Amino acid sequence: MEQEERMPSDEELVERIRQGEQAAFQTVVEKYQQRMYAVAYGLLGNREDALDTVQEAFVKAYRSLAKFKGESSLYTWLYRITVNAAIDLERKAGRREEVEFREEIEPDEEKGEYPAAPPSENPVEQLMRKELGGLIEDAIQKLPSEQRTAIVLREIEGLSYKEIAGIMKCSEGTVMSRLHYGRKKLQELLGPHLE
Amino acid sequence: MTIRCEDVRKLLERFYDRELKGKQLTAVTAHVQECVNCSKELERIERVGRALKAHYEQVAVSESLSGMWNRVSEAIETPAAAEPLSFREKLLGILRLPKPAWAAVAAVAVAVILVFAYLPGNQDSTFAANDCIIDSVVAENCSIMVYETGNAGMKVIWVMDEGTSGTNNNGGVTS
Ligand SMILES: [Zn+2]
Repeated sequence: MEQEERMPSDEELVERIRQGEQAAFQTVVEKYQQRMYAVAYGLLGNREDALDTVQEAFVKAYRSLAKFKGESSLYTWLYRITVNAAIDLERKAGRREEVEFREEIEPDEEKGEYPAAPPSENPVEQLMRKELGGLIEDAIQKLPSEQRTAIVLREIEGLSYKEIAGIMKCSEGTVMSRLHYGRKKLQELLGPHLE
Repeated sequence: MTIRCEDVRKLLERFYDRELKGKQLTAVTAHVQECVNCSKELERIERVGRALKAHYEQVAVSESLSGMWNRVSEAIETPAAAEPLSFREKLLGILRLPKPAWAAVAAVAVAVILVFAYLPGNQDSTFAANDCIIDSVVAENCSIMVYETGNAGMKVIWVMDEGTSGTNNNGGVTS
């Protein structure tokens, strides 16, 4: 019983960070880095930019923690900062190197950063998954930024319309319409490969 | 409550997103259990959603993020030099110019203000309700404020030398 360390709540962590306890912020980073990375990667489509964005977002979060009022949950607040950081980066980059990046984001087995596929997968299945992954990333990058953001937050992160509306600073109706058009396009691009 | 396919289609995404409640939820749930076409449509939506989730989760799980805290903590340690304050930096750069050059900037700014002040329709006050402050910097010897006028759609740089103005503009937007 003693060994089981209780995970402090987000409110507790925020309070401790405000009191200057940096270790509490480390806990927040480690708790949310993977989800934020999934969002950043979904929005940007390449790992370098996604890693930079996550870092940037955490730094911004740390520096503006005073602005976090606790009206939304910590993770939606973090998502919001991540989305904004990704949009900033996209703007700066002019969003044009996509095609070149495509090669780089192929998993590099030698680096050992991508663990082997689950043991149940045979090489053919593995290959198919990789190919499908490429198609998915291509398709999602073809969406306008707002649709992509809504799709990523909904389909990958499972956020509610209300949460997405809060993050994107728009109405729930707008969220629905962005999701609808995004899905329509994705259906067109991916549907035939998923039958 | 029976519901037509046509109406179900309009609600299907919200159903899939678990955003339906009450009667609508009951009706759509019952309908997709019986209607082959609508359940196929739902399946199509689900299939794309599942594929996306599975792919990006795999990507995130596969990425080694063990170095993230180091990156973040290093960046935090580095004082705000990395902060995107380019506009302010530029203005502060102006403020740091040697006096003569600085006087030239001030002269230009004063000229701009004079032109602005005498524009027809702007006699009432230098600051109108629909003016929008773009940014401002308050420094030791002087303050600079940039704002856009709602009426003329013009950007105005306002330079205040120490003591020359009783107007104190602390309301600068800084983000
Ligand atoms: Zn039907």
